[in-house]
Amino acid sequence: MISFQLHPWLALSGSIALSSCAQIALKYGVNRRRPQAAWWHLAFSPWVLLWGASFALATLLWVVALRVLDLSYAYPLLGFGYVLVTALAALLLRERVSKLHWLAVLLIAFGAACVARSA
Amino acid sequence: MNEERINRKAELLVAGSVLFATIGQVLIKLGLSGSAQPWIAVIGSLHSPFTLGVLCGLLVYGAGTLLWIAAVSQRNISYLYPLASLSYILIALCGHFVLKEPLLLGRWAGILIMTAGIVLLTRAAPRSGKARAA
Repeated sequence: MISFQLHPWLALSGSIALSSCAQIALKYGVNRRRPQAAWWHLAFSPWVLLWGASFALATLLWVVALRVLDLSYAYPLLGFGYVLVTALAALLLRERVSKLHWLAVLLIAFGAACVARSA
Repeated sequence: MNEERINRKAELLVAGSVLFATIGQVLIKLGLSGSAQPWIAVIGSLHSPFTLGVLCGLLVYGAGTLLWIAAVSQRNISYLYPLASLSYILIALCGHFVLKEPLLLGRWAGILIMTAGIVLLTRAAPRSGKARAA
């Protein structure tokens, strides 16, 4: 019998990576919007659609991961998404991120992990 | 002056988006906890029509998503996304004051660290809204 088993850690890291990429895609789509276009035109942007699809898939992977991993174990790791989005925005979208900004993001990710871990 | 107003608008939109998402999740949670077993509630909600709480929750959650898209058009995502971590603080406070969950030292320490990070972020982030390269 052939069965496909996704490793829970692979599902978890995939979920975090995918939801981070989703935010980058959304920002890229919004940046590309012509200023005179109506806001609802965004709904037809392929980048915004990619955001929606990635978000849905990331949620699915999260559920798959939680079937095996404890919530108190997996949830704190979601804070890593803040670091990843900041890094991807700096690399791909050429956003300027100062050292102080990085320190703030690391504090937030660490604090989020503390809040989630004690849940 | 105009730029100053736009900048504050982004923070308000993020706060609104986080608030709506949190209220939406609480409503969904309350809607799903109609029956005793959470698993049965989740599976049951897939087969039977959505309960009122779940439906309201999804609508509010959707409104929060629209606010998030509006916020993303205002400032850098490297600034806005970490700012949206406000949801952790909001949910933790909701858990304690609304749902009467026990007060945990680690959680309060985390809230303090996050608050420091968010305050620092609002000071450190550049004021430009869009990426330089399109």
